[in-house]
Amino acid sequence: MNRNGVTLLEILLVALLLGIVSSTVWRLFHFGTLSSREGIRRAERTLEGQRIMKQLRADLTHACSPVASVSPDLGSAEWLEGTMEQSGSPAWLHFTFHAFPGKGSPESVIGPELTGGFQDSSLDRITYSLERASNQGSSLYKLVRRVCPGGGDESREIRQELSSHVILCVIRPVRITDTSGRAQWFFNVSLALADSLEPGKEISERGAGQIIVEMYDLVCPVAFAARWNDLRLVPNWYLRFAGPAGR
Amino acid sequence: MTRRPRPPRTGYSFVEVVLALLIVSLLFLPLFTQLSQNRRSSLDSAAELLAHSLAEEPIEIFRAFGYRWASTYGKTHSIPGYPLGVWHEIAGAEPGPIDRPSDSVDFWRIITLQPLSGQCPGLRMRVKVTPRGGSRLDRWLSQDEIVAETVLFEKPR
Repeated sequence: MNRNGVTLLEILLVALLLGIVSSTVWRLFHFGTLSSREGIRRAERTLEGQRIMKQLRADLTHACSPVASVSPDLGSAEWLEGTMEQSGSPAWLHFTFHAFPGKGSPESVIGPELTGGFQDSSLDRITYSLERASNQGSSLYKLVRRVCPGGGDESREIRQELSSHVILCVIRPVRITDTSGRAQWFFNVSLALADSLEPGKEISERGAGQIIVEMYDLVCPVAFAARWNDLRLVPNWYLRFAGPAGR
Repeated sequence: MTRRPRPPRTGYSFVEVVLALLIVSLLFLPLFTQLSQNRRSSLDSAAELLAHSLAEEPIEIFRAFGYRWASTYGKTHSIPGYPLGVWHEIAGAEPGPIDRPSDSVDFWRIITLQPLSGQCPGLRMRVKVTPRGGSRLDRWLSQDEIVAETVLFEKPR
């Protein structure tokens, strides 16, 4: 018998096996691609969140009260109230505060006659606000940072869109008290970014098929620490922060 | 009786075809592993970022209160939820005022304060954070623990 070719049964069997193998390969490839895409998007949102948190920390570390004639006996709660102004309602929140310029020395913004406050004209006014993304069906917000340098001069305002994937951004003052009753104020920042696994699909609510990246931070502004160390703002050597009482 | 010579084999046998398919599918495996590795590494970096925040949180608090306060911590005063020298749950029984991501409950933390030797009084503060065994984050995080350290000094005279 001359067996130069293959039988029909062999062809069918090979076709069946080829079908099974290629189907498995396609499934693996499909899930591998989905998984890879999810990984890339999560990494992008994580990096974006890290960048935002870094900016928030830099700004909040320099947050201070703009009141030029703060009484030395003023309690920390009043000091804090004078530092952060919150407006709007969830989720359209606006957080506004004053901060001394990060590149400048803290001493440069404290006038010699002051008794605990800062020269308003030297301070930047910083606002973080959440704005609705352009697509109405989306639950994502834009996080916008506005800086009015030198006492809040609006003509020189710098607007910076930090992200358009935000679902939560809250800056909350928290008071941490020890068992002896001593307390210190901090800013507790909560940030959550989201992205869809399917390209072009809107995120209308939290659920499956989404990537959520959550992060938080606890920031103690140097002005608070100095305030806590001494109500009259004695020099705080560690933070290189000097107030009027130390002069 | 004479044997007729066998004709030359120009095709492939069934076994050869099956073996070839098996080899080809095996060659694809590293590619799929690599594709899913992206997701795993991104989950790892997200978990690592959270672990860093959890480690830096007590450091921020202790730095804000200062060296003098920290040097008597645990003797005359303490903050609930920040015990010294013991592994403890984060946001467990005493969640405290701080809002943290929900995954924080999958971590354990230990805070240690050690006096510095030498003439300058100071404290070495070390915070270790590790994922709770068997948790989701335990599978994601490639590192066993995240360590953050700082030094708290007394104000120089």
